[in-house]
Amino acid sequence: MRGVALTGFTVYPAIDLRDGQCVRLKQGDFGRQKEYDADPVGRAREWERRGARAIHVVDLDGAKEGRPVQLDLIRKISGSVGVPLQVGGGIRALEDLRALQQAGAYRIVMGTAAVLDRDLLLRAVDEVGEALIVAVDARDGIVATHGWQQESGRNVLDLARELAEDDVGSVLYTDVSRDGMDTGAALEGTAAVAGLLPTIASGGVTGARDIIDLSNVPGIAGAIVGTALYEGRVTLEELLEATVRP
Amino acid sequence: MAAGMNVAVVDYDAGNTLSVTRALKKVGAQVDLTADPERVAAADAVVLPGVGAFGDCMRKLRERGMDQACLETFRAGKPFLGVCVALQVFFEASEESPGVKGLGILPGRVVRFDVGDLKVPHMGWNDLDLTRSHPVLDGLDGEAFYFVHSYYPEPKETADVLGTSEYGTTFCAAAGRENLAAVQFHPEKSSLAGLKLYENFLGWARGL
Repeated sequence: MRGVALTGFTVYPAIDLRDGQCVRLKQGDFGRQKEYDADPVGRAREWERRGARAIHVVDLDGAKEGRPVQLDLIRKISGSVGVPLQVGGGIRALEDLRALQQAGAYRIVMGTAAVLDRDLLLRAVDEVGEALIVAVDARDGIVATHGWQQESGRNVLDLARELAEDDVGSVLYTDVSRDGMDTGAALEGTAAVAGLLPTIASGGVTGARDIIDLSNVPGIAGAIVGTALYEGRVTLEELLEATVRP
Repeated sequence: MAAGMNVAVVDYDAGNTLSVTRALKKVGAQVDLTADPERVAAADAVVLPGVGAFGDCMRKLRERGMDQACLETFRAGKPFLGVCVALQVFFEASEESPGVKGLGILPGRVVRFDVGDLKVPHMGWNDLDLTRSHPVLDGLDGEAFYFVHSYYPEPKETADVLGTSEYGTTFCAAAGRENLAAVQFHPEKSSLAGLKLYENFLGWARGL
């Protein structure tokens, strides 16, 4: 890879799991599921072959149940690729963090549970350290919880500040009013959070331009891309190319 | 290939154990995942995986008597590879866990990134620049590897530094001496370059 300038920015192709298959939801709505292909392991291998440096996996069954459900599948995917998996979905207990790590997840995304339970959050930081990512889902600057179906009333930046003080390694910032809707990256909101702690952007990346914009913001460490890839609006190669600086 | 090489992977509940084991098998090693110091002593080569905090890692090693097994592995001259926080515990101490002694095979201590505007942890892919040639890192100068860490070692002896990376500062990303080599990044999740490192390790182990 000599000659390729890395910016440290990671493009994460997303694999959303439900019933052992890949799906993609529009705006996190369980009623609006779209299926893209049946085999997540093959899909993960394909992303790696095409140059992905990491893969983002969401256990949607887990997100709904409030505990990881697809552990075996995650183990299988991790064992099938030579790049790290970042995994989220329904993680609300320390045992879940351990189980996912043992299953081969290198970074673990905790959402609702961490937002609502600071004691759990502190123990999670203790347990997995840098591997912990807290998902901050926002709608109009307010934190949304429970798989986006409820709002907490908390201000996103206040929460981000608290997370930084609690030594959380990074956040996954999703503008839920945009995810799956291709209305452009939620650059401003993401940048504000990234000023407080390392941030991975999710939601609304539709093309190379979004990746260039996001990767130029200090503190934004990567972006998760799902819909745009699966619907063929942009290729992974084009997005990866956009992270390279001459 | 290194057929028949019996590699002990130290089992002390480190989160990346499964992935390290798989990568070693993929390049042809016979892997013995074990928490038994005697089986570590019987292996041709030893790998210490690791993720997480310095203090937690040392505690888990000590609880299983594996700290002594590690020291013994080094003394016995057996090829020994450390991954991620395992690099750090080969040093004497860490800012992360004041008062906790490391294995102390390599002089120096582990410090936290203090890199101004850059955010900690350093996570993602970064280039490795070799500062010394070493069989384990053969052909890997300039290759990119996957990192997730907030701390890095500052070796007292520059001769112990095998390679560096840049993140606001030039930091030690690979270190070693004699039969010991250790890397801060995760070769088991660094695609082909990572597999090459494990393959190099087996080759080195065969030759030692």
